[in-house]
Amino acid sequence: MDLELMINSFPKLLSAAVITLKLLSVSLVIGLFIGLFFAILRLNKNIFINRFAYGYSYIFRGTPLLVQIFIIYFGLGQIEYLRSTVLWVILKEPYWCAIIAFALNTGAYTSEILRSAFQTIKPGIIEAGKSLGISNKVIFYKIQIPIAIRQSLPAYGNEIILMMKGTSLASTVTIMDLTGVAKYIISTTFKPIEVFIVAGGIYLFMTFIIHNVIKFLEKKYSFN
Amino acid sequence: MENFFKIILPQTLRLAIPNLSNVWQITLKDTSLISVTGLVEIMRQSYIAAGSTRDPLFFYSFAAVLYLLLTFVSMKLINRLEVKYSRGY
Repeated sequence: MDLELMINSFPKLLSAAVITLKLLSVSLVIGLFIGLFFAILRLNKNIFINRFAYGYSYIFRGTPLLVQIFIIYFGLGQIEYLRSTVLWVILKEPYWCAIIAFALNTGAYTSEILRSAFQTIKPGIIEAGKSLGISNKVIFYKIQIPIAIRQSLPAYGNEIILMMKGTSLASTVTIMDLTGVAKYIISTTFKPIEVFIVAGGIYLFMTFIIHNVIKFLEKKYSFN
Repeated sequence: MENFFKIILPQTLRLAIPNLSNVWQITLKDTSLISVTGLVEIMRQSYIAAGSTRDPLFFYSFAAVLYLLLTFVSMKLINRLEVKYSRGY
């Protein structure tokens, strides 16, 4: 064990962890909106809209995140037409490609989580709102969404932690996140165990924080 | 012993199958990560193919379809198991 290397690589890995957190937070925010959008589509009575939303979540939940990143980063660059459009400004950057892949992936899982949360809302609550003369729109925004968010907190916390671990795949498309920097240090020192122990420790610490924040929120917004 | 295998295990299996199926699906998708270490599985093979033919879009999409097929088939099989173990409930 090379303790000196572990201590020396710690600050470098810590600054790389900031990039990991950036990737995570940006893709989670975009993914939450995508998820909410598709969850609402899933509740739609129209069979085509319903099927479309189901197909989206099925494809993104049925294929590995690594494949999705590779298709977006390596695959989309192959289409000549795309290179000439404005989209290419975004798609040539590995950073944005990774964020698009993560957002679409987490959006699919989030839509599934939110959908089941919407479906577990007791109809009595909505009927109570209706009998008070509250409009359907207000019922949806002020009653259904808050309850659904509370209902889905535990599952969403899991999703955040899974996503955080998923961001390590960004290193495969040359992004210098926590795993990317760890790989780089290893390629110069040839000491994978020490560096990965430190990197793993940082991941573990982040999981610990996220887990506790979610637990705190669950307690704060509990029903009783 | 017989008590465990004939009475307790079938009942726990019935309740455990949905969650086990989730774990199965997640692990199935995580096998793609093995490609990083150099073992030639779906992902590694499509990486090699994409590199030599310069056609990443096709090969990665094909890999995605293969994974979809695997998850689809395993889902069907697990559903069948679920039906089998919930007989009589």
